[in-house]
Amino acid sequence: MDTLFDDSLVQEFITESREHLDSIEPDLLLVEEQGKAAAGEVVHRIFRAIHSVKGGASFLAYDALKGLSHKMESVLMLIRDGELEISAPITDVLLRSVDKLRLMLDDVTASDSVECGEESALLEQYMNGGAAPAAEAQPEAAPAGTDDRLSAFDWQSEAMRSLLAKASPVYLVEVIPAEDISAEERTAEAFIQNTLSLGTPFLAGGEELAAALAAGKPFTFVFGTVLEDDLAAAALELPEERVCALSAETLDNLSKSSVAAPVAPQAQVPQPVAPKAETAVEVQEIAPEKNVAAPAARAARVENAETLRVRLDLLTRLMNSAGELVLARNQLFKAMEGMNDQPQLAALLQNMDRVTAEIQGSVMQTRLQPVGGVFGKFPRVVRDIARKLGKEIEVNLSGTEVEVDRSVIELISDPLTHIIRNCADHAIETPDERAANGKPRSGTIEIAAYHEGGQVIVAVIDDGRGIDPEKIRKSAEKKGVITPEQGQRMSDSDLVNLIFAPGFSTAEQITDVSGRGVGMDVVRTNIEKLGGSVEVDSRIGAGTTVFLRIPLTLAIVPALLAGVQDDQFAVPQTSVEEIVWVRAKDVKSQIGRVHDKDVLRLRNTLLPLVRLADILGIERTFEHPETHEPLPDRRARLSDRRGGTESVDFERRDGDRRTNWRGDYRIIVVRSGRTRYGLVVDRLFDSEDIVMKPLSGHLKNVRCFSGATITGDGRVITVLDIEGVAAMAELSQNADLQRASEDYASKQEQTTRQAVVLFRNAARETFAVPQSALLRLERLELDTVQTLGSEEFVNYRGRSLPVVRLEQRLPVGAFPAHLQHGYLLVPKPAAGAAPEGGVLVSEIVDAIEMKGECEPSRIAGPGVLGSTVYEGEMVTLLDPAALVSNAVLN
Amino acid sequence: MKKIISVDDSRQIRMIVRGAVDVLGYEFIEAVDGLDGLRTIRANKDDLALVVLDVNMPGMLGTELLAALKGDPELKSIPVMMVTTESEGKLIIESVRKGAANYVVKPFDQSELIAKMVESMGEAA
Amino acid sequence: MKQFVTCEVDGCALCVPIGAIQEVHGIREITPVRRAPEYVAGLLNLRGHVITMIDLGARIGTERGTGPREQNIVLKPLEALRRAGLVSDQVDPELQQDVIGLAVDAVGDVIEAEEDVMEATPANLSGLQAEFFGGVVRLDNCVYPIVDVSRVIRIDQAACAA
Repeated sequence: MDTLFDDSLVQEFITESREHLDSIEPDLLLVEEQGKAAAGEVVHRIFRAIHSVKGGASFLAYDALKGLSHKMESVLMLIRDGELEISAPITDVLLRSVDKLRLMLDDVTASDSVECGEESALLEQYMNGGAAPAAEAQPEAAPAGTDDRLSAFDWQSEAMRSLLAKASPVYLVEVIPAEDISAEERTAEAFIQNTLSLGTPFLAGGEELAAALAAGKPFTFVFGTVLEDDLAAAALELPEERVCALSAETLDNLSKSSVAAPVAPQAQVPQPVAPKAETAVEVQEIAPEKNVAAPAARAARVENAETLRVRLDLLTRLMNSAGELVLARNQLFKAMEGMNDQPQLAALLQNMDRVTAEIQGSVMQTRLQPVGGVFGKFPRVVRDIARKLGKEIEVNLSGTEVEVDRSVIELISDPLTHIIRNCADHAIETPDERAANGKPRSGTIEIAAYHEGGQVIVAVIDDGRGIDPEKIRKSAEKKGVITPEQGQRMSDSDLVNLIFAPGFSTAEQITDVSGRGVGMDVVRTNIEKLGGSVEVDSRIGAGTTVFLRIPLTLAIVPALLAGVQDDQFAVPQTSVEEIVWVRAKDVKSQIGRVHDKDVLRLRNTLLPLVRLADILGIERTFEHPETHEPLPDRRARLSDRRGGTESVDFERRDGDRRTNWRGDYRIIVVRSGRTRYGLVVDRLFDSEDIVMKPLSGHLKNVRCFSGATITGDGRVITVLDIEGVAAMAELSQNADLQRASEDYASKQEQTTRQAVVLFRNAARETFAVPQSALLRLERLELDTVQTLGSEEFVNYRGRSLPVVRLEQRLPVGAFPAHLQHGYLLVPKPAAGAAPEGGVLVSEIVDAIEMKGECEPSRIAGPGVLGSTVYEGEMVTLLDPAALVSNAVLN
Repeated sequence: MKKIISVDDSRQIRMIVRGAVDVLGYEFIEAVDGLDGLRTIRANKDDLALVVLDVNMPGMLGTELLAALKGDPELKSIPVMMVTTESEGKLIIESVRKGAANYVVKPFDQSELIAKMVESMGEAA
Repeated sequence: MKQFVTCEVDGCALCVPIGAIQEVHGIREITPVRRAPEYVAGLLNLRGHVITMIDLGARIGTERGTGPREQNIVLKPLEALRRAGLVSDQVDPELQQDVIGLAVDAVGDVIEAEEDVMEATPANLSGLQAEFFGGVVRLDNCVYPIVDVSRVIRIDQAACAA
């Protein structure tokens, strides 16, 4: 291998260092905020983090990294020891240094070229301002013979003499148990074992290493090892200033003073080895510029027992395999469908099914990470911008524990950062401006994450100045993003969402603070690439909210398969609201046209329709009713009947004119973010779980597809991009449609209102009957009611009219016993007939107009039409005629 | 114990080691990779005075072979010396921890190699 | 000596450096992608992976004959091509994950040619777009233009603009 260090070693250092730097930021902000009250624990944490970075940099000989982190460490040490008080300027410098370190990590081999003179100088100032920092590197080699520490040892002992006789280096090692053992979270045993595995330690007075460590006081020992120079300190995991190699001269002096001459270790050489005397054996120095320190050795550690580092590509492969396994299982199941007569097989399949599901679930879980990881850096981002621009901004995070697939996290990080920078830069006003508008001086940015409908929503909510739709409209027209006509037609919310349109972001938006030329359109593209969506909601003067919708995972999604002609497509199930099947005979009434867009009347709304065949450029055909020949469908509008220019009359001449079977339309009602429409397709198939695969770069501009997949029977089909299709259909520029839809909706409401009479029988149960169903309503004195057996009658216009009590026919409360009067509701009988009976009720509440629609009632019985809610109360709607006639028949 | 083995995928290094072995008056045997080395070492275990082992070899790494040797009761007493490229500090430390007697850093000259080989063999004493 | 695989598309005989090829097999089914650029034949299922098929004829500008496009020359992944020196760094980063297959009519033998036999592409390649070729191989009086893999798989920005 030619490289100096294994690639993976460098990678590990970079990854770990980045994590350390990430952890330093929020901690620094915390310490700044709390000042003296800051927990020592936090400062210590920062210190250790930077110490680790320094160590690794030192070991790998990245001098610039090492130098800067060393200075940071020194300043932090002063703060830790209380000799320097943290302040905003100091935090600034530290944060900036963290940034520089990050830059260096981005390209380690060129890290020396990163400009950090300013930060260095500032750090040094602080370093000198405080008391002399403790960590000053000691000279590598102890001066020959003058070191007092050496005298503590018995150089005459046999062990020492043979040590000196060897050619290997000898060191003087200083150990400070408090720092080296406890603070570093090592055990004395581990230290001893490590040391012994590397060489031989000699302590003063023949003491044992274990005892010296147990005593807890700093001590020195002589160490013989084959490891040269800097490696010794690294191996012992001690700071290099504590490990001094004894120079050749010193060793010489020491050995000369011994009584016996050094014995060359020759025991096993059978033949005379003349060359030994000839060759001057010297301790070769490894290039001394490289200063080596501890942490790389620690890199071999395993994380605390509950977690484990796993390479991401391994996990990705695992996830893909799990996905393929699910598909293979589905295929197997499909193939097995016919073989029901094999019960053992069924049991095996069951088992396989269960296990597969478990694997899939677990694997997905491994890739889930809390979004908090990404959120963590935002307070810093905002703080920097706020300070730079003289604003006061508070950041609130919520939902940081919401979990999302790791790759998704990585991909939303940049877009989110951009949005937040924009927010701090443009949306939040200066404190004065805010005060002038009656707002608190400090602006707030809230970043929230939550689950909704199988997706994760990340919202960035600010209470800033909001987006002015008018300004956007003018700006967009000027840039040619929309035409003036389109501008007129668009609603406020459409206009505001134009900030995501390509070509919209301008140089004015891209200040040094908010971005490096990355526009909101790129943000949207990146989010959509994941299968997500982004939209904005804003109110002038009050604030803006940006919503990011992202899928939970990128892997397996349930999808609905649909067909147009011979093509098949997948529609992600999360986008599917419902499926509407409009029969040919209903086409005329259900499908209309608003401003040259086809619309579907769906309950109370008008849904714009998009014909998938048109979007995809597939020629619409339909089958000739008799010859079954595919013929081009030349109708301009769905609602037109076929016929027209063709000479053949496709409508059957027999009575069954309306059932042209090709005239049925299958519509998938889809929704993605704010976009909602009906997708017209030819055929619908089952739902399938599919593994989403990205499309080639060659297909990136094909907006209607967001990916591809392989179906259960091995075919490749493309996956529709709901928003992309909408864009291609130009659905957004239609405020008209919205208005038409609203008009329609309110009209619908009105036509289904009806006049009803509200009444009660038992005290708190309310009922209603349509006024139109009543013949008469009159007050009834109970003492005029006559009883015959179990029946009751009353004198009504000279006839005996049977009286029905509600509680006799329905499981409802009874007419209050103490009441002396009530009301008689006489329903309209069938034409020409006489009234069959009357219903006794206790109280007439009101005569009102109410929505005609109602839901199924919990009460079962004759005459119950349903139940609804009026002014907070549950009302059961009754058909009195049914109630009465039933009773009479009884 | 009359033999010294060089386990190294580089012919050049093996030549250099052979030179040193000749000077020391031992018999030279060689292997080109870890597995080959392990086989040969086993086959010669009673005669081997020293193993000179390259740290970076394709297939089985030198450190892996070292671990295998030290883990085998029949082989662990044979001193092993590592040959490394420049300063692969981490690997050196790991090797020493695993029981390597010594190491030499490329580029080296013969005299240094010899000195260290002797040191390594002396360690076993 | 370098090796090339010969192939034929719309009557033109070409060859592809063997170092660029992962495998060759017959095409069973290609799913066309609507609204895709002209030269994208569609998508194909290769042992569970979705690969993008480029119609080599459409790409290099042959007259679209009745060529049946029966064979698929699957190219190695981008990273491998780059390591083999067959792809310059100019290939778009968006192609990182792509596996590309070239749809051709037929695939012939593997030919070996000495390095010095390769010549610069003659200017008149009967109307084919010379930019897609990186020299020719002459063997037994036959001339096989060498397909420049990196150029073929590069995204054609103009053709892709929606």
